[in-house]
Amino acid sequence: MTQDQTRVDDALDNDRLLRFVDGALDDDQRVQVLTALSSRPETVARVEAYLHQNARLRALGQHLPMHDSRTFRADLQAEIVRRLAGRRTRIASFRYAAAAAVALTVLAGGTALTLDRLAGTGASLGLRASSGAPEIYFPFGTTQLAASEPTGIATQADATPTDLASITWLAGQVPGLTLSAPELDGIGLHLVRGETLDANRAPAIRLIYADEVGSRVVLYAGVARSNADHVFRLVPEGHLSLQWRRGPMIFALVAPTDSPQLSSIVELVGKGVAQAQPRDVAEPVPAAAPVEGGPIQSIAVPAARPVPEVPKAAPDPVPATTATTATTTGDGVITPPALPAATKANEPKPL
Amino acid sequence: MIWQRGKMRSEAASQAIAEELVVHVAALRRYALLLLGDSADADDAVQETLTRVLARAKSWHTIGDLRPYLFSTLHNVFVDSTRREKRMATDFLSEDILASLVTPPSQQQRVELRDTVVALAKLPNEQREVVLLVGLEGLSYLEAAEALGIPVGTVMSRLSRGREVLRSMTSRETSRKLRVVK
Repeated sequence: MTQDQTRVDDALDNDRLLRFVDGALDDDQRVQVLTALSSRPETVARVEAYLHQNARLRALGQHLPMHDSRTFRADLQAEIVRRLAGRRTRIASFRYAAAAAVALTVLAGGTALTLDRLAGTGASLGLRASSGAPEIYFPFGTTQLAASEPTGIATQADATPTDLASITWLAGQVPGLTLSAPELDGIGLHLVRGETLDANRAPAIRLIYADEVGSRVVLYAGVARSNADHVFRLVPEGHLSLQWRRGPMIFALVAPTDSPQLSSIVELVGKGVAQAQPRDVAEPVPAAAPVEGGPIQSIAVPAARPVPEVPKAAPDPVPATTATTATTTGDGVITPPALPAATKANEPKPL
Repeated sequence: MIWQRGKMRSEAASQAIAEELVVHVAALRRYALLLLGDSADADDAVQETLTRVLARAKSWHTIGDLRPYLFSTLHNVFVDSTRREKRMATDFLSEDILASLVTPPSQQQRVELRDTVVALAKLPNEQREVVLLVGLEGLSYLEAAEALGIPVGTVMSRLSRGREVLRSMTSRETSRKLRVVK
């Protein structure tokens, strides 16, 4: 056996050929293999067969029905809940559905006098949506509403006047304030349920939106008593936080950095609450800072599945810090701030 | 307060992983379908896999890479089911897979995919697992070894044997079809 033949055999040993097929060789090694293959047509046929196998497998994977249909998600969610219940496993909480979380806090009744009248004792009236017992959340969509939310929530049915009454009720907690539910129909989310959160110390409501396959957006709104109320308790890694203020109202948004719906939701939430026209606000309340220990208010938005007719969120260079500043006009119109750029530096870190 | 802080950190980690799980559901279903050959069994295996993973939520912080971990869990589910049900390779329902193809490719592609599915069905389970993890899902040898709980060398030897079997079967199919054409 000549030295050249030995070199070729070494270059075309079985492991190296496999690594060549699977792209696990560096450039130098690939050149060695290719050079050696030039003198071994029978090995070339073998390598080509392996490459063709990989191509076929990938083509097969692309043609399999692997989209997450509503039925599959529902079945998956129900089955997981059933199995976990059977095992008596305690899972603290999976609060966010598919890929996004958005939070909104409405800080209304801006003057201390007004708020003190509401609060009585002066204790915090901040939203406490997450202060109850841990809920089991799964990121699989449809039936999580039935599994983890209050009973009776229809995932696709439109909201009833009863549901909308919760908004009126919340607005009634602050004299002179009117609120309306944000219109998210334009991005494929429609209101399916509104309810008051009686278990919380503060007047609060929860609005549940759902898209066409039942994935939801949950919007919390509450009345805060003082400027010291906390907005966020935590922000998951990979998400960004955004706050802005208009007069007595403060908005807080937590969402994945890559959510294509961010700007749309921000805009539409702003428009929806822009209809609130506080009449007796003496002076605006400064925006609350995101401080540990406050409540979580979240909207879970499915990011894995694009919603039809959703405009792409244009990258925005405005940093998160500037986004916390309200853009307020004198005539009471809210102009939501631009989203911060989705950079690591801007992402809030979990506690 | 310390407890609360730890709880919040745990919740944040749980949320992050819960969201990441969604990304892998489709891949798990695809892999399970081609591994088990039956869509109902595949969905059941995925459900069991995710249930097991979620049940270990408290120890998620010890998981390095979720993807190999999910496939590893699915592998264990598969092994358990084959032990329990004494599943044989002949149980692989290639027609079930072929019938479920979403977008029918061209006739030639469909024939090729059929040959691939039929050939996969004839592979021993351990070879089919490796071929699918590396060839279909694109896992590295190390990730595949981690998922299957075997050494990298074993992964490569199974992969080599599996690919040779597939090659011989598909080449025979090609020869047979050529004769038919004549």
